[in-house]
Amino acid sequence: MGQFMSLLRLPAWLRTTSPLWPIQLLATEAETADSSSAVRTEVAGAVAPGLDDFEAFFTRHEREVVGYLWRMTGEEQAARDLTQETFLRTWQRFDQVRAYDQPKAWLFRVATHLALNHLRDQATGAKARQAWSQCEHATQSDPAMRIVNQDAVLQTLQTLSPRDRAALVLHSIYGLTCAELARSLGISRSAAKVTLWRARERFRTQHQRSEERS
Amino acid sequence: MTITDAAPTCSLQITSQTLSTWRADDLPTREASLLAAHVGECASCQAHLAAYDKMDSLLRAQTLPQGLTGN
Repeated sequence: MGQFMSLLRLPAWLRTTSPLWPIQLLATEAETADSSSAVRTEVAGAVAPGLDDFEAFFTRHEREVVGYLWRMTGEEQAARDLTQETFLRTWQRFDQVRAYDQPKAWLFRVATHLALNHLRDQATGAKARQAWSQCEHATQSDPAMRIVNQDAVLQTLQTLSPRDRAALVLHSIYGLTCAELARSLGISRSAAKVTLWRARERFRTQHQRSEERS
Repeated sequence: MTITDAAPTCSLQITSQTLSTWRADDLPTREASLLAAHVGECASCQAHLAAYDKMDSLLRAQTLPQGLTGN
């Protein structure tokens, strides 16, 4: 039961449709079949090996993944949805994932794949740009969010191609090495270095322009 | 400076791509130590790296929207 109580520690937006839902569902079924706590524990243990490890993995990386997906998509709701999908896929292959040398790179690879698909579905990214525009409006009307530099950074990130944006965010914010970047983006290490360099230069140039305009 | 230019006053014409790779700790060891010695004396390369550092600081200073922090 303690395992399921731990769902309460999850952020509110994940608690409703937690990535642990397959386990929760199985536990509910087990509970319905036999209300004995001994049986419940046994069944939960049998169907959910590694749940504690997965929960620790989730806790360690959830904030990074949702932050990354927010910067990639520019949309809070998309970031939430894609984070859930990322961790659900991770759970489905967790026995393999936790054996990897760099499980974080694999996690970001899944998140990147989902983000790129999402952005592709947005057809030219028009919706994302609109979301940023709304975000800008919201920040102007919210005194707590009036941080000019931060707005400029968000907007500048959005001017990069999704792949460049991914490289810059993963390296500069989440500290992925070029080798990890290569795995996360599904490209060669040489290509990862070039992508990171291009992203840095484009971001620097764009940010400089926006500072000059303001 | 455009993205393909070498640093304009760098005596060794070190490119921004090389500086980016060095900053990412992904240059071969020998190249990295030679570049480290050069950067110590090159104002142009130092300025370019300082711009990268500023960029990283700006990116890391971003905070997530409250709705995503679970608080």
